[in-house]
Amino acid sequence: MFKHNLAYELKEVLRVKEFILWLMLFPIILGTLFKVAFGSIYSSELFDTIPVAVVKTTENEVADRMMEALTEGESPMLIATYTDEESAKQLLLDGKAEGILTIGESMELTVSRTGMIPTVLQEIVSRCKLYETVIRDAIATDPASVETVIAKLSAEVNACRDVSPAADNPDVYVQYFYNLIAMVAICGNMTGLHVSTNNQANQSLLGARKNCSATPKGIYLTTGLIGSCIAQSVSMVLCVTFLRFVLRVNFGGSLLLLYLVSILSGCLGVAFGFFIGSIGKMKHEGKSAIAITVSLALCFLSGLMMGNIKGILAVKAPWVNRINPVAIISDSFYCLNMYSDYRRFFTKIIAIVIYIAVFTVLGVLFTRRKKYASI
Amino acid sequence: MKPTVVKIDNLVKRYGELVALDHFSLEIKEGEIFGLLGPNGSGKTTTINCLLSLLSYDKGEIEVFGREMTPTSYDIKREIGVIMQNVAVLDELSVWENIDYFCGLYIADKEKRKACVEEAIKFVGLEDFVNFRPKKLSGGLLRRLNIACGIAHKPKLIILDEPTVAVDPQSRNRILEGIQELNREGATVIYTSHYMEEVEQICTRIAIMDKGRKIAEGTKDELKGMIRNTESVSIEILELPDDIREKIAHLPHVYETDYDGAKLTVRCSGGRHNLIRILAVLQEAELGFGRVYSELPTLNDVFLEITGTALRDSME
Amino acid sequence: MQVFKAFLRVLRSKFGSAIIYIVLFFLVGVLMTKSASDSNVWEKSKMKLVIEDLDDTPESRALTEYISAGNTIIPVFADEDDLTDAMYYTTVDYAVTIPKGFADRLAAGETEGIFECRHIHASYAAANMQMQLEKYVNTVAAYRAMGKTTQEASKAAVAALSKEAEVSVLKKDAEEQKGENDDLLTFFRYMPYIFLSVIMNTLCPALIAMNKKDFRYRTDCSGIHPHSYMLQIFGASAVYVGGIWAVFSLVGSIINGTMYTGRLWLAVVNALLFALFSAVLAIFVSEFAPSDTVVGILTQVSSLSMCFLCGVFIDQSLLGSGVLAAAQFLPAYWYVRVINMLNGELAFDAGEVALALGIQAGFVTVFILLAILVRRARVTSTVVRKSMA
Repeated sequence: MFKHNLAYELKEVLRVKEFILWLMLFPIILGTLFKVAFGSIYSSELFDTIPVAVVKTTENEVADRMMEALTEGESPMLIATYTDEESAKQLLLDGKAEGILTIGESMELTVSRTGMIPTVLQEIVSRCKLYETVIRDAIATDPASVETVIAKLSAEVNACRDVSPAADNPDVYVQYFYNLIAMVAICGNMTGLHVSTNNQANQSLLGARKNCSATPKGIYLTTGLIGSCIAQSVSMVLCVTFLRFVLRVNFGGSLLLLYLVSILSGCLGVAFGFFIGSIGKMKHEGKSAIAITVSLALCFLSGLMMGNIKGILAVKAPWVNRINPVAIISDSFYCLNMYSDYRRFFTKIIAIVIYIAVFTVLGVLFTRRKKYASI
Repeated sequence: MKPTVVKIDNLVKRYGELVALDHFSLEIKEGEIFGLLGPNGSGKTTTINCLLSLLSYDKGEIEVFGREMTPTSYDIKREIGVIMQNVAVLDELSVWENIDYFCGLYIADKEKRKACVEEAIKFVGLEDFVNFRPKKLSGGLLRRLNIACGIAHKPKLIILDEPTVAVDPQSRNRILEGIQELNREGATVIYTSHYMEEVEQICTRIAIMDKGRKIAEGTKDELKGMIRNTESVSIEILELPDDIREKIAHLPHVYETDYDGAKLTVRCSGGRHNLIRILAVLQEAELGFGRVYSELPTLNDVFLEITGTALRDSME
Repeated sequence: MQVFKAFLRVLRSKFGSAIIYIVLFFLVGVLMTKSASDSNVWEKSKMKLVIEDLDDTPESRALTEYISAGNTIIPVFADEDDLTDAMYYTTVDYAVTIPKGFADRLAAGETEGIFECRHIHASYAAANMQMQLEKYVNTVAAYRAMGKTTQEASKAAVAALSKEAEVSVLKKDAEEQKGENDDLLTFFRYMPYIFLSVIMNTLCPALIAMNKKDFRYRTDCSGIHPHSYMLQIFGASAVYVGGIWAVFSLVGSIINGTMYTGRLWLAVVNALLFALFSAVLAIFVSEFAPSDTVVGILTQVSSLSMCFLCGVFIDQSLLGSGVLAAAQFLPAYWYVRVINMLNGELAFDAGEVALALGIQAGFVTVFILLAILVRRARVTSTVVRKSMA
């Protein structure tokens, strides 16, 4: 009886055209789009040589030496175009230079906007000022030391010992793909919702028919849930495979665990839908609207529409991320990528499993009722 | 005395203020085709749903096959086949798969089930459509599929809740014959409808419900015996003076006359020679008349007389 | 006017779910506005730093004071992993640990690897921070070379380092007003997503109810001309959408604190055009009478993809030129362009604004025509099918 039910449940779910459209086409379209839109953003935000226009009005040995140090070497900080004032301004306004360095008695900076790059330029120009100050101080305190002071000032030191966490892929835009997968997972609520609708006498005629059959409710509920989970897992695996191997999104971490967490999160989506479907007497359409709206809100809070919202919530209201199932799903991908030990990853997995259990148990408690006050 | 299959005792079901079933009792014996008649909203479907343990009820007892019916009485449910008022099948499964699926909720054994499904398909005449999806079936075929899903597991008690709504006469006859055949094979049938001819055609015993109460019960003839009307005489007549009509109205056994300018209808209760007496009056007055009919009461007359003729849906 | 009235009545029956969507997306809009105004890394030169001073000596305190100046200091995280998360989501740009024994090592001149530094993105901020730290070490060494003690050198270094170069800003004329109405314009910027979601999710079910086979056949059989039918549908939809637009515009003026003035009215007009586009898109889609689920999918795909491609969620300046070239074929691109011209992201040019508004109006017209065409094609095809049968 169990096998019979499961086989038909699968047949039914996999034949729903909308299911295939929703859960398979959706990640393919949006995934491709994300790839196109975000493919090159991250690298453009990474540190790169800064183009500047340099206008020299007088000779300035300190400035020259500094410019030399900044524009030469393996990965130079600046790439300089020496020109006159007018064309320098044009370069700046056209966006071909990030700033104008005017070298006179001292060094001056002109920029066209605020932001991190102009700040870096300011830091460089300040260094020139610093040299002047320090050398002046040296002449005042110990003129003999000037040479050593200059040497010390421009010495190459590696004061920073990098102990940064080793992320497999630090690209912050990959989180959009995490959220996309999480969205597909939570959309599994549609199949879960069908399970509770189709098995409750007051929700559908099919439910009534099943309720008066000789098969206990437990069996068709269980097979319904298992069938939906299997179908949802298939679509999750397809989605992840498409993103990973066709679009070549670098998720980092172990592939096996990636698939594991995708499948689990798909089940979370199903359980979520089952839970919503089991509350109250509202008809399927209404519950479906609620499920979609709630899912979208959760996706939003997890950063599907705006990547940085999760970071902001982590500071301002960390409990939101901790209880938002969509955020938990996308965080588990993130942890897999970011941390070499699996401690965090497994807490997320446990959270997912707890959610699945809670939603399922509550759903069963609500649908368990055998007789209805009205149909 | 045949054993009792269904026993409903003093059933009360309320929806808030509305009393859907008001101390309703019923007893159905094995081998009967029991008709449950009543206008829309009289509580037929509610009775069925309570009987199936889908609905909770406020008071009363329900026994099926001599045992108390509860939501977990799976051994009882195994012997019941339900054909719902509305078609309830899965759009994604073919005709064969649908029947197999629902049959599988009752019969676990695969071989046995296969035989049952094939028999059910043959029974409803869907052999040519086994691989069709429900959406491709016409209304009549869909109804037949609906029935096949309900009876494939060979239940001993079959409950049909208005199974012939929106079905063409051919399909309807087929369905009715099918029900009688199932009954001959030993199934007890509960049949709800408001099509009088159907009920009259197949039911061995009938209960009439109204406003949640049982207002009459018996065989067709017993029911017909409960109403005043035993004979309706209709005479085509173009001219009928009032005094002659008065005269007819005062004949023994006549309780109602009705004249619309072309046809006179006389309703009688009891008596044997009503027609002759009426015609005698007309002859005496030397009035010419056309065709003459004498009809025995139908279930329709019974139904209308017992439940009244006011429109029903307005009360819901 | 029968269709007009009937349709408005149907719409009214869907009002409950519309309210849910409006409230939800209104909250989303406000949240987006709020979070956008305090998180845009690219607008600010402040860095978000975590400084952990384990040495706690005058030298280390001087250093802390120096690098704290002008930056946002975020308290030390108890859990290392929380720090990692914060760095990943760029709520922290850089974390420095000044280890125990820092002052002693500085005195001994052992400055190689003296700081423990953490960052995830190889960003400009990280490069800048590294530069600052090394400059400090160099300067202290220079002062020590003059014969000062480490403590004195540290103090003198901080004093010398705090002298920052003057920066002059050269801007295009139009960029001056930037920043004044940022909150309001950010709210408007997310409007395409809100409009597409709210309008498609509420208008489509009502339209589909009107387009149901039986209902459509009945309408087609009646004396009403398909053009007149469509015009009335457009009219009723416009009334409905106009209402939603008015609500959101009102909310905008509340965010703004005052009534719209000057060029800000352009944002309001811009929003109206996009609202109308959402409506005609909904009408067009509904002509095919898809199921509610399909509408859900289409809404999600069209709203999310349009908003990502056209720079609603992510600034247009960050998107590749190929993406932008493709985005020009979508109205949201032109919508965002107008917003960008209003907030100073792009130079304001009346002609360009008019062009962008005109193109959006063009999209509205094209979809109206498409919807009428589909309607007519469907009416004719039904007639043909009926006559053949």
